[in-house]
Amino acid sequence: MAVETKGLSLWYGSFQALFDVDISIREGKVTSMIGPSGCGKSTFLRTVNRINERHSYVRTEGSVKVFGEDVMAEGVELVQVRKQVGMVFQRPNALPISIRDNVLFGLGLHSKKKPSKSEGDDIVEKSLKRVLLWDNVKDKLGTVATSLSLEEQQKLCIARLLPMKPRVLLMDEPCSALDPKATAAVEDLIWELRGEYTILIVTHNMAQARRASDECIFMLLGKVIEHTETGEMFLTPQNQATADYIEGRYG
Amino acid sequence: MTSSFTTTELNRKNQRTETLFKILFGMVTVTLIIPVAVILITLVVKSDGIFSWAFFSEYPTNGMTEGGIFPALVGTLWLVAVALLASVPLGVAAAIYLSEYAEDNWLTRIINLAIINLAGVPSIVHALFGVGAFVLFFEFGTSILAASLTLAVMTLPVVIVATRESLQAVPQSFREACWNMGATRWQTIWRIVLPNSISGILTGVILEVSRTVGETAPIMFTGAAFFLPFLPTSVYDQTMAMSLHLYVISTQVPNVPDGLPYGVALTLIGIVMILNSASMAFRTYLRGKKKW
Repeated sequence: MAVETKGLSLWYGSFQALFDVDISIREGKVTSMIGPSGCGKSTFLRTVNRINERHSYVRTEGSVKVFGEDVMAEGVELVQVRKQVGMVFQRPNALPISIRDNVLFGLGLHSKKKPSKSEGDDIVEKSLKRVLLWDNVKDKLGTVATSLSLEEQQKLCIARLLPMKPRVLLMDEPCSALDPKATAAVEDLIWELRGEYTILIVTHNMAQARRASDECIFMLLGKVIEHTETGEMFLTPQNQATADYIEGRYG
Repeated sequence: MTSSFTTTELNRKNQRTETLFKILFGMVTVTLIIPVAVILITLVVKSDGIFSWAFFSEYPTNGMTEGGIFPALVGTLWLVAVALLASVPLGVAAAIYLSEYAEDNWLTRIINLAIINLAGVPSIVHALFGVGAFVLFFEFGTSILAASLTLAVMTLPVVIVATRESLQAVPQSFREACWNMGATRWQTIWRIVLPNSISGILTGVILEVSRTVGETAPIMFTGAAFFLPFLPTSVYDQTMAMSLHLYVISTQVPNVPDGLPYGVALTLIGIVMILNSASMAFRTYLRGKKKW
């Protein structure tokens, strides 16, 4: 299993956001997490690379394993966790440096010496090609990344994770700031990346979950209600709450 | 004509009130420029004929009633430069800590309160503190070092507040992007936060300089001298300074020609105005390069 949690509970102060969550995410698949706002899906995502802990009032119990290793264990280096479990956010957050530097940024953080010009060029080209952005930006790699369109920025945000060779990519509503056409393009990209990367994507967009994921997890009030193959969930939901939600009766 | 869009009596009344306040506040605003204009015009008119190359390049002569202001100009440069060397690293470091590392707890709240209070301390109190701390306790004597450190303490709040504000103007999402790629706080600060806040920090520094140039009280007991026939050679020397020189020739020296104090004052204001304009131009330039 790429990501496996056992008895994961999480509290924001005295508010419990996750209740005893057991989830297994299969390697190389796209797994989407759906559920109404506040159901804990983003919280779950943020627990996998431990960025929730930046807030001192957050407390967790239970285990989170990434490829069999407990990321909550003592002695775990957070920097290594963040490097191997990449995260993409709702609002594209390309850094205000050149496109090229954005792609090489993560690598620069984690290696002692800078890659040579040609090594760098190579990595930049490969990463940008992988996210289907190369043709758009190859002639302007030196321009500031924040001047790109949101779609391009979001693709760049994915591209800049790749040189660090992440094993899991977490995406927190990666398309919600994008227009429908850009959404389709990013979805295509996510689908493109499956196999090589394990992708966990939180979405409010039911159609997106259906189109662009292998498996689907439905959460409600901090608990996992249903976790099955995506087609199955949308055709024959096992739980009444799931059925109500995907048919838009609440949410 | 009775249309539903006709002006009513109430519309007209509101419109009159609108016009009244616009004119009133406009006039108040324009009045604010008057003192500045009067000061500048007076200085320019009264200092007529004072300025020459010699005014800037010669020592004062004949009991400071003739000659130039060269040693005072040089001394002011010394004082400002040394004060900057002390206050900028300290202030920027403190601001980075407060903005990027410190959590919001009672200690940081006390520190913030202290900074605000430090900014409110009158300059003469800073002067006496400088005498006690730098001149006597640290035994720097009356020297550029003591005077500059006093100036530095006085302007620290300006540097800290300006720096902190420009650090906090950098969007949080940039920091989060870095942290999520595994960047440490320092890597984030060094690679992203500082390059994007440098314009604000430099503006703060230049404003500090322009304030330091004009200060008199903090330096008169700690390192500035009435008259010295030589230039300082190290930070342990005393020095003349523009602001004190103006005070001295205006109040302490008999038979000073009328135009001289005005010339010194105009030079002083000129330096401040040039620095402020430079700071504004620089900020505009750096802002133009920003893409967010």
